[in-house]
Amino acid sequence: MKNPDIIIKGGKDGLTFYLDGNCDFEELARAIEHKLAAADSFLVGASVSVDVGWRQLTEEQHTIIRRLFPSYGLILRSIHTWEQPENQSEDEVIPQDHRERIYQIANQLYESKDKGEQSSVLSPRRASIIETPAVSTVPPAVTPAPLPAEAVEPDPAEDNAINTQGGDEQALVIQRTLRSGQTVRYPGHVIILGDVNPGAEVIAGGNIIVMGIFRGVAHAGAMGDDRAIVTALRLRPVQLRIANHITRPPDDDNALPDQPEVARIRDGVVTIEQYQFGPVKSIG
Amino acid sequence: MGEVIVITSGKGGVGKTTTTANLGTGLASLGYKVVLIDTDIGLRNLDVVMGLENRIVYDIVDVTSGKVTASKALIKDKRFPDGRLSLLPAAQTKDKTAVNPTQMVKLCEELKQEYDFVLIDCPAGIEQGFKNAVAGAEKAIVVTTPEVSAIRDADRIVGLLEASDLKNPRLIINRLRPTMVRQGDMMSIEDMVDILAIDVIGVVPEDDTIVISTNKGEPAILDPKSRAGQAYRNITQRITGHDVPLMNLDEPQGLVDKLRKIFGKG
Repeated sequence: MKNPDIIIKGGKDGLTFYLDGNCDFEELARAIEHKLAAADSFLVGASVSVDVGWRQLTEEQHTIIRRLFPSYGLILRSIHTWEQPENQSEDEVIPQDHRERIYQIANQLYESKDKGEQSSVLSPRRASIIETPAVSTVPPAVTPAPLPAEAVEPDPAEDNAINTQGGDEQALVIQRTLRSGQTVRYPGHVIILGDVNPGAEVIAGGNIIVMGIFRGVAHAGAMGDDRAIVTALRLRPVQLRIANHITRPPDDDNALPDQPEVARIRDGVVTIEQYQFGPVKSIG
Repeated sequence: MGEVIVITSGKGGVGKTTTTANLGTGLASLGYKVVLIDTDIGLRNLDVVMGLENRIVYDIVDVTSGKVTASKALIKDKRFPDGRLSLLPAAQTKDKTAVNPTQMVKLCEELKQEYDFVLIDCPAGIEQGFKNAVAGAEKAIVVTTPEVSAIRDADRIVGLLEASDLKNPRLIINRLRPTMVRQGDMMSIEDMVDILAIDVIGVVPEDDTIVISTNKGEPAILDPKSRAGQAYRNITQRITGHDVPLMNLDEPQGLVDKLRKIFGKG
């Protein structure tokens, strides 16, 4: 019996789970659960939408899916079916380019399976790295889809390639407060419109910008970029890392400034300064 | 159609069970039909705090596994007429895996047809027991004490509740000692709300009568002199939609002083 295919894809709105449209629902549910369990806490707090393909879900199956994701700490945003609800054109449900994308992924899977290659499912980390460029820019099917299903382990070369490819502009915007136990990992910049509470963690390949109070652990320039900065309206990190530097606030720091601050590396030391208007210069 | 409220905290020992017992008893004294469910399978307590331990015949696992009907397993609290307050005790000899979230949803659906309030006492932790407890709930009350560890866990719980579609949980701050807060030795209500960013539904002061009432199996809310009981009475008012101001927390200073005098003399 073949295992149901589940493709996890990262996009600008979080993760999308594309579910096999042909297998038994129970099998599918089991496969999702397995996938979520395998991801451990990696996906906790992630915002997820589910694409069930042509499958028509019963009310009960809907409920199962709706409960499954939250039980692993994920936030389920929406469930898409390709079946068109009355009055709604199919194109509204799934944009055309999106659809094309799915075909590409499906083709890739098919090919990789023929070659007897391992897992067809991408880890979300990889997926988010690969998929960060906007979906709408996906080239026509002639170009091989950027989903090298054969490589499961992320290799550093690829990470670097993405860094340069996407330039400095890739950013993930999170519009809520990160609570204890929630982690954000992203190869580009991370912008948080909310607070980051103690016990939460933000790891970014680029800069970290928090429009709120930062009380968690920050790691900017996690892939080695020591020009990365961390800035917050109130910077109260438990621990602050930039590239390979680690620092924490002094224990006796009672006079915490009530103003926005920037942390960056200056002369090989992480320094925290008052935020100044104008462009934040990366020193490195 | 009743409301299903889960009482949870993440950290252990902050007063989930005490809160469940008191709120349940309080709501019943206001005339509502209330059922309490203890989901702390393997470490059951709620029956002891309610003073109903010696009447347990069947437990939650017997019900969810279909061995007996819910109505048969429910223990009616004789302090109230017409079975207005009932308890579904946890099993003591099994563990959390003996029940699954689907069964809990079914159980809550069934009980809320007949009762005005279904209060679920959640076990500590964020594993299976927690998942079971929140599965059938529509609302959540997070209990915390003014300690960083409890706040940290409460924050985690709030995140998990949001992820399970239990939006806008309410906060009960338990065991607050206003004197210590004034001296800057304890986190204040503001400090806690600052981090958790959820609405406070009540503040329960530290109160020795809780220890006594717990040991006697008589919820403090039934004791008109207990300050914690008063705080719980206020919370039940707020749950039922009445706008009651926070009780004057400064007063316990006098009480503490009085107690100190008693102990000083003794």
